[in-house]
Amino acid sequence: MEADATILPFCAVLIVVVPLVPAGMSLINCGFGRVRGAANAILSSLAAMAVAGLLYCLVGYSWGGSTGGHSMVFHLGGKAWNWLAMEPLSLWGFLFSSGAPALVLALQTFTAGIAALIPVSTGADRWRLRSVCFSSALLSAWIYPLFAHWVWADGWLAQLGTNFGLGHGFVDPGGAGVVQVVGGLSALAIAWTLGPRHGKYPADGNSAALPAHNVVFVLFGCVLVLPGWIALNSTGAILFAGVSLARIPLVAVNTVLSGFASFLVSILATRIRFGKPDASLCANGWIGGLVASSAISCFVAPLVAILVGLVAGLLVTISVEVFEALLTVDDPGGAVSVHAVAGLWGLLAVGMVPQIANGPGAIGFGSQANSGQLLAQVVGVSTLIGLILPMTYGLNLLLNRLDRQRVEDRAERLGMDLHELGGGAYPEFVVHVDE
Amino acid sequence: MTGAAFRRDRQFANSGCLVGCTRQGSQRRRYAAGREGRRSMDEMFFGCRRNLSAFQVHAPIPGSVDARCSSHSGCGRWIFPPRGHARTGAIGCHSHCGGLRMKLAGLLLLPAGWLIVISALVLFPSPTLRLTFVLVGLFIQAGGLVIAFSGSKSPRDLGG
Repeated sequence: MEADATILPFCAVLIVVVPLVPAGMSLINCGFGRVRGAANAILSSLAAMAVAGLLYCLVGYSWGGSTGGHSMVFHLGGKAWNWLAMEPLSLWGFLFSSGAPALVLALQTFTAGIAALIPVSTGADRWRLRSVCFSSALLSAWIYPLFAHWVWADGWLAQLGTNFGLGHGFVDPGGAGVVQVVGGLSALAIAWTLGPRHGKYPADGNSAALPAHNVVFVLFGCVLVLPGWIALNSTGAILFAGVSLARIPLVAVNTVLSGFASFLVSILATRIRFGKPDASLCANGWIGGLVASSAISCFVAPLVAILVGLVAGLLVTISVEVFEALLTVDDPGGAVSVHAVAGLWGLLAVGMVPQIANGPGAIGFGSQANSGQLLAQVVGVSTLIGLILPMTYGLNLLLNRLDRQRVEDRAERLGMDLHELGGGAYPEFVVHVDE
Repeated sequence: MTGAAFRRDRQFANSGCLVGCTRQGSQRRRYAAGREGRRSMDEMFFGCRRNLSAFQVHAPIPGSVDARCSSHSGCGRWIFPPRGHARTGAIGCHSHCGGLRMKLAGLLLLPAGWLIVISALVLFPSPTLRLTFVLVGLFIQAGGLVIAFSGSKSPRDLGG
């Protein structure tokens, strides 16, 4: 969908606020790790973002492109499948006065960084700094641009509506799938590649709790991401869903309400489950609600956004425990649950909940348009799980063969700060070592 | 290594194989000695470097208690048996290496399911038939995920 040219300056201002999302997420990544890896966690987050932004501009944009650019199309079943953008490498000849494409590039420089720093919390306390950079390079140069092109640049997923009559095609204006789920699935691939931290799954059969070293960082990070997320969803809605300026307050309200509802239900759920609210899980719930809102915020009424947030909060709270205890995925920051599970829920919710069209009229449950939309969203989710996850895991496995991504055991016991950086984040503290 | 420590190590090394045998000596004592760096893995596995079905414990790095798994799936993962139960580390690696093949099999089912979903869109204009095949594709993907997660269950040891 084409963006309204008159509101592009407003969009440019919003993009300036988007970096608050990676800022908050870096703090969250730092807080969820151990004290002896705090500096390395935040440095890895920044490095991941820097590498991803750089590689996206130099290489990724060539495959990602934007609506109306050059692309590779093949025909199958009498339909055109827009598979890959074919823009020049290194932004050669790119017109920065081109309006929407330039804004898309600016936004995606940040969103590629956000997708790349999601797995950093999963690899906390055991992921080499150079491996973080290599893995982020793979993600931002190939995996992220590929999916971004399919969804945000009139790729085959966006054209499911025109080609196969499936609603408006796969829609994801705020990047719940393109950014969050891609990052979350990458986190899962990293968790599989690295294996759990030492001491996480002892021989007695239970999973040991390795609590976050600074919950204050985590909770402050949650507050910090909120304005960034509003900007991200609003910019996405303008650039990728073509909404008017009048719809932006609705986007902001829906984003906030979804996050708040998810946070509150996480407090309730953890209180019922553990007797007292769990601050880490509540923070996960907050982010989970924001992730889910990225898919739906410009399409639904506030009450529906609350409903989506409530479900997201419950899903995140439950899935963190399922991943940790049942599936033995050691994910210190809960990135797989927060970004992948909540993002997938948000994407499916677009086709499941009543949407507002251009006004109060709702499409409603069970209508033809909505069932087609649900099928389009299901195809998108199937693509994420069926193509992006194996590709991400395969590339990371290959990378692991070439250069082992996990630090040696003694480095893990020593702490990532001392091993990778030669100094701790809190030099005046006595750092406890496992042994 | 001091002379006393060396004599003690020789005594431990001759007291049986660490991986498979429990018949002689105290594994806890032997392993604790290894953890404290008094013995190399060469000495710990002295005289009995055995193959256990799907894996083989590598020739160790001198002066270290770490060793790499070298099963034919070749995960290259560090084996680090927990204190007091030396065998667990090796079993953990075994479960990982066996699991790697299972995980890869599960991950292969994911694109297979996706291809069915895409084929359903292209081949079947009828909504009912299309939906049926999309559901079949999703079911296969769900199965692939279950297998992949089963194969990636972390060993119940110290991880890694």
